Amino acid sequence: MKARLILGLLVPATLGFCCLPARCAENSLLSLSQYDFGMGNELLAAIEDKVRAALTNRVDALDVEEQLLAVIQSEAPLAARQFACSQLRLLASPHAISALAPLLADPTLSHCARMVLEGIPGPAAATALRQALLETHGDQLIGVINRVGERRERDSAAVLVPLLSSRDPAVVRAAIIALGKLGGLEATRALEAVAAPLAPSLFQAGRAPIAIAEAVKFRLDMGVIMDSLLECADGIARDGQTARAAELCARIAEASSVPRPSRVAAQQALVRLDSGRATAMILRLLRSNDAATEALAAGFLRDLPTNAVESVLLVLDALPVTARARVVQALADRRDASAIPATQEPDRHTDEASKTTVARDLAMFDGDAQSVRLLAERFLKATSTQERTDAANALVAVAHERGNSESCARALVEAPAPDKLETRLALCDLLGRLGGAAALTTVSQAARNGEPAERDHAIATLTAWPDSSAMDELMTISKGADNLRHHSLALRGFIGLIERPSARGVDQTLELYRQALAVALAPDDKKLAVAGLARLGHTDAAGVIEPFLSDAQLQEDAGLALVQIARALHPRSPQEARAILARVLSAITNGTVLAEARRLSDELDRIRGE
Amino acid sequence: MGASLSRRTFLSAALVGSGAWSVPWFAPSIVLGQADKQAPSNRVNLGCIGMGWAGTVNLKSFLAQSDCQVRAVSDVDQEHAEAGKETVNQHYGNKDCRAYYDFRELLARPDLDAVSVALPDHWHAISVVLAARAGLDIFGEQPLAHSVREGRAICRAVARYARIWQTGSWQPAERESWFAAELVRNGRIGKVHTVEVGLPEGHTDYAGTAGQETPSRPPPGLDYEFWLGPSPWAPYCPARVHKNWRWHLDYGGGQLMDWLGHYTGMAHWSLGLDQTGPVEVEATGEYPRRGLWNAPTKYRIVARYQPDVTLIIAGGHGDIHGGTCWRGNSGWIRVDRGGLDAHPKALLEERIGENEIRIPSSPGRHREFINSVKSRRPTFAAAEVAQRSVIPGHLGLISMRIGRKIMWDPAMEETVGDELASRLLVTTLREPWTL
Repeated sequence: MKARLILGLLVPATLGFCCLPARCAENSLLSLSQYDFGMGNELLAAIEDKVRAALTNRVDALDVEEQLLAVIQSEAPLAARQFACSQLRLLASPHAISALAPLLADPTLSHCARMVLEGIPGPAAATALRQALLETHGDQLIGVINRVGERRERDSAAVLVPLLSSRDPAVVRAAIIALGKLGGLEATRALEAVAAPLAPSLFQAGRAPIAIAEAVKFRLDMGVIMDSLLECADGIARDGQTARAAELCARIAEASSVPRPSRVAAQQALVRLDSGRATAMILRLLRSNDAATEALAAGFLRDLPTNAVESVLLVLDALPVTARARVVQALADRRDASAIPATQEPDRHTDEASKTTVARDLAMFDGDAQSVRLLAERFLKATSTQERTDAANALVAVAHERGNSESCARALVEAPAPDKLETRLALCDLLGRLGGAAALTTVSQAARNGEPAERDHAIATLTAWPDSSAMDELMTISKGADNLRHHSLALRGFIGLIERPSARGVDQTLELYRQALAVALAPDDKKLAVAGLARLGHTDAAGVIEPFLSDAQLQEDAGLALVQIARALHPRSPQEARAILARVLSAITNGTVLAEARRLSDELDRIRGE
Repeated sequence: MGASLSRRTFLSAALVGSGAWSVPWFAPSIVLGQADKQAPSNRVNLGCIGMGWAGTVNLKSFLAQSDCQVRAVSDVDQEHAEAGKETVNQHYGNKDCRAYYDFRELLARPDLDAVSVALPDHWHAISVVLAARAGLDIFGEQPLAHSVREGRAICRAVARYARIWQTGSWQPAERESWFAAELVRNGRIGKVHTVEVGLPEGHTDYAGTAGQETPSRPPPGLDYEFWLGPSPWAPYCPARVHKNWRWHLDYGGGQLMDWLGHYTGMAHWSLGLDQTGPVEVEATGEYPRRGLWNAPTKYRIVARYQPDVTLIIAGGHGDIHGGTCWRGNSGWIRVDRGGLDAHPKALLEERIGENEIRIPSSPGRHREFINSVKSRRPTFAAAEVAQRSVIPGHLGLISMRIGRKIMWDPAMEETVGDELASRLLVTTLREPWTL
């Protein structure tokens, strides 16, 4: 058996049908019946071209449709019949239905037949699918049920409901999903009847209870039933019966016998369908004293109509502190000015973390100078590291969200300078994260005039500045430094900032590196500049580096940098790349650099040879 | 090893042979409403579905998040699943991570808050819809889905179950892309009339299996029938599966669909079009004439939006350079692997001012996802945005196939007066799979 399977798979491929390409030029459709897996696309591409061309001409389309139908009705290999179906999907007319319908029960072709049938316009395809519900079994029946569901024709409920009594759980499941897609009252009642035995407190069986097979009953997935009921609720609401839909969702939302995801989905639907019920529900969730449930409720609040939000605000003060912060955040996300509570002030809260959270959220919402000042004040007056860190993070978050980093920085620097060194150092860090002119001025002053620890900290902050605006200050510090450590630190910062995004031309960047090299004292600082020059990958950069080939302390770094430039230059200037490499090879006689240079030289030779 | 393989073989027979959904023996506790786990607040418990290429990259990024615990992995290839499990266990220094071969078993775990899904495109919709229904937040890969209708099913499921969604979007120069998009959105190049998106062309043999197309037995560790899942049946051959599946339209969408969402998401945002779509799409493509792979190798899509913006998406056309280029009536901005360029150059020195429109800063897509799972605030790369960003590609592929322009109603997400194009918005799932 296994051997036969393998033979079946391999023989067509090994025979190769090498004559197919020749034939396909003549009549690709006639050749299709000999096509099998493993033969490649040539024939198929030719047929696709033919089908595409036929789409513009009705007579040609009918002719091609006939030929494709002949293939699927023949004894052609599966691959050929599958492909014929994939093309019929584009061409099939109601005429094809009689040829396709029998295939719905065929385990190998049912899928392809459905693919074609589902696209054919008119009621005949739907009739064929409904008829197939009576004539197919197992997976093929499930496939047909799925398609009947996807067509969303409500009168299909009559043929799907009987399938709920099947003894096959997979069939019942498929019927439940399909009924959900149909929507409408008939489908809803049927699904409620299915749910009734599983959740009797929720649903009544109704006048026509559905006999679910015992073997199926305990294997039903409540989540699937609820999903279909929620789908029905959507449909009912679209039909204008919003109250009926909301009632259904409210029952699911409240039911403890329903899986939590389904309850959450019903709650979400209620927000859309019935803002009154939803408001009460959201308030209840906000009072849960559970962070995750509060977060969920705040999520619902983002989608609630504005008038309903106002009723939440009326009772805001009665909510737990953490819930209040989430409400403010949700309102900020809505960007709904009318919803922001004027009474929402951080000082109403008792714990510092909540005060900061509320202050942050207010600042995020309105970006107002007063809100930002409040947050800056919390930072400057913080009594613990944690408080200070929370406030700093809040200010940075506001700056990112509102794009007002300059205002945030000004709020900090315009306040009286903190007395404590620890706070001044933290302020330096925070200004470094915010960036901008006001921040730069303050940090620069600290770097020049601060206490020793403050100067160290400020210079370090400048070296990590978010953009290149701190470069001038760093160069000034490096040139005028009274100790080698500050000189080197500032210079390294300067070199690092050269690589920040900028609209400078290469010439200007080269000039900056020249300045750095002119000031540099320590070999390691020079090496840093040489490495930056190498990344420019420019001929002129090579010119700046080459003199260092004769400097014993820098020779290796300079050599490697030049090899790197040669490699980068080669695609656009091969001659210059070779000239640079030649100079390296003549200047260096051993070590890693020589090996690298030779390797690149060989590579370039090989490329030239090719 | 042997035990788990035989168990999987049993599963495979049970699922594929007799109806995949008649398998409540591993049904989750939520089936009968017993589970009432609370949503995450401190530590996010994650399952990773798909341990191939992108899945492994995502796994490592999530392992680096200190408030995220990867509990389980799954893959239909035993080798991949076991490797993923080993990575997790080595990271945590224990043996707690469990490997599954059927992702539905993983979804049935009561202890998960979220999943990362990195499967071939033909599996996106089914896995994500089931994850949403199980109450899990989802980190998914581009493109959102294998067809327009599958994408819509994902959006509906994510919205219905109030789930957090994050698309694993990536661009060669992310920071520069954001900056460029902000400049455009804030009018720095005037009224934008054209956006060009240049994508790769051809097929790249990522797995080294090009040409290995002779039908053969699948390797023993791979549950090939499950791998095929809802796509048309076809015999196994190495070129069909791992990494190179993307070059076959039954499972992926070629370079176009692999890359498109990464670029158009930002282009749409920059023009305020991320909740709408084109009104007409016309495309041409070149298909391979040999071999198994059938995704177009060279393509050009012209999508027109209201009001008067043209998006040109191309692969293999010299006039459209790689990356994104916005052209407005007072300048242009281009982002590509070389970084940012603009005319006039002074645009590069621009700052986005206070009260201008900004892209919310992201701490990285994996971090952002974990943050959103906890806060329940939507991510920037929500499902709806992902759906809108790939629709030009889906419609482009349809236009190529039927050889004509498609008129599109972005609000209804339906073709206008084109019944034939409409047929191709749907993927017919092989039985017994359903959405």
